[in-house]
Amino acid sequence: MADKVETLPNHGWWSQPRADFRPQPPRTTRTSETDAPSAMNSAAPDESPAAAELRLIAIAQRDPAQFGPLYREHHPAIAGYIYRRVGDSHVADDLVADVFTAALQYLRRYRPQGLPLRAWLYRLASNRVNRWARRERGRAFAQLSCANVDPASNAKQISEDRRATVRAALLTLPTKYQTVIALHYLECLPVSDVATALGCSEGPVKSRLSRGREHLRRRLESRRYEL
Amino acid sequence: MNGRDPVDSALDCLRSEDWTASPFSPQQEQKLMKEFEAHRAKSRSRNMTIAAASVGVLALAGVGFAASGGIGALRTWFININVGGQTHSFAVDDGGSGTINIVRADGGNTTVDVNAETLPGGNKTKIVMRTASPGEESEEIVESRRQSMSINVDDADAMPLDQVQKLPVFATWAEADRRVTMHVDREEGAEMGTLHIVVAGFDGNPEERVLVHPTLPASLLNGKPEISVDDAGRIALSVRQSNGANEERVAKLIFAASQSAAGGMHQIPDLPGAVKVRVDDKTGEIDVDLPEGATVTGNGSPK
Repeated sequence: MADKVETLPNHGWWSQPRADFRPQPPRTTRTSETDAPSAMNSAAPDESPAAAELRLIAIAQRDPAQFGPLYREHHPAIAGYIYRRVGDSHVADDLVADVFTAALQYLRRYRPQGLPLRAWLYRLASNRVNRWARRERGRAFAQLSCANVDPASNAKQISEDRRATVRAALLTLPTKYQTVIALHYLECLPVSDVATALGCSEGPVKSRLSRGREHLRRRLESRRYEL
Repeated sequence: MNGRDPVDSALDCLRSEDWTASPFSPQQEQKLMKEFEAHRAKSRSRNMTIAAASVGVLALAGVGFAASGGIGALRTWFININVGGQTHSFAVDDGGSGTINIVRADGGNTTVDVNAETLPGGNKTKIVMRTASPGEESEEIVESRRQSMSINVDDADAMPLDQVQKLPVFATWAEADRRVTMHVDREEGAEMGTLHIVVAGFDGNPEERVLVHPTLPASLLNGKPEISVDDAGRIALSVRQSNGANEERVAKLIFAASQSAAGGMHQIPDLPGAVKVRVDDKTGEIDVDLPEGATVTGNGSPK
């Protein structure tokens, strides 16, 4: 069966016209009670969220100490993305810290035109997760080879076992496939936004999605994966 | 089985995960800012780290592609050294040396000496960077294997833009507020081909023609390049070649033209931190960055 490359509904935070730009966290992201008020929500009434973000970026570029509002705005989405890829909260915490430290370090070089901040952060995150994933690939293969879903377990355990199997299968793929699959299918970004985040055109993204799905299918079939 | 594609079901399973990573907290933000401040302070300190220790931030240009051996002689290294978030650049001729003095925020001086030496065989260059602050010295040695090829920058004989845009697309990517497209110009069976680079705004109108024509072995132009953009905005095109024996060679083209039109140099504007390709006075260079042990098949001669 030919693999399909579906275009998910526009998640809607950076494909929209910039005037309507409004970052949204992925739908499975758990927000914290400690979350500070959104920087965009604190914008002046006549200022669009996109304009508010651009203003905050300009401020932070002049003074990195003012990066906080941007960090609070984008942390949930980036942390969720990283966690869904690595599956370990301690590793994810470290990688999230790396991403935002790098963002602070490179913020002065960032040019917002055509590249929303969250796309840039996804790029930073992808680079870091990919480096980690390349190091862990051997372990992922080992984990996949002994993955097992015990039907006698309770429902929660079965669900966790399946998730671990799928994640291990995903981590055994070349990182170029992992990245597009995670951004598109796990973070629900449309192809165009994945392309923007990765700095390429849509064609290679679609191609990698298709091939990546095929690789993933083979990995799962090798474990007789079945839901 | 419910008839759904198992891949979709598997991905649903991951997507629906209620992740338990640490949520945002003010403490995390404070920690981040402290780490960043510590990083910045460290950069300013006498224990300054030369970020240029990584080959990736060394921008180099080589000239002269030896027709016989296919190994370019490296002539000039462009060294970028990051100090406290600021980049200091200078050039070192092959076999020569360069020195920069950095006056730190605390008033002290740090001297960085760079020596570039092409090792026997010509395909490796050793760069030694010595940092000296009062009471402290350090040394970094970087060996890089490079093959360089000459490219042409030819205003007069430039192909009209509308013709360039009809050529097959080799690679395209988005960067900042523009889209960059590389078109490949190669006759059937020819050993060499030329890349034309066109920069256009997102409205689709080419706003600038970048007159950089790297001439590359056809074997490099046959494959579909993988494009990656690193944190600093550096763009690399990797072309994989299989030799049919389950071995793969990877040639990486790292480039971005730089500087202004002054001095005969052209630019792809606003590619922040991009590795420079020197383009001066009607000649330019593009690096073919090869991992250890890899070679590029195909031969060519300088145009």
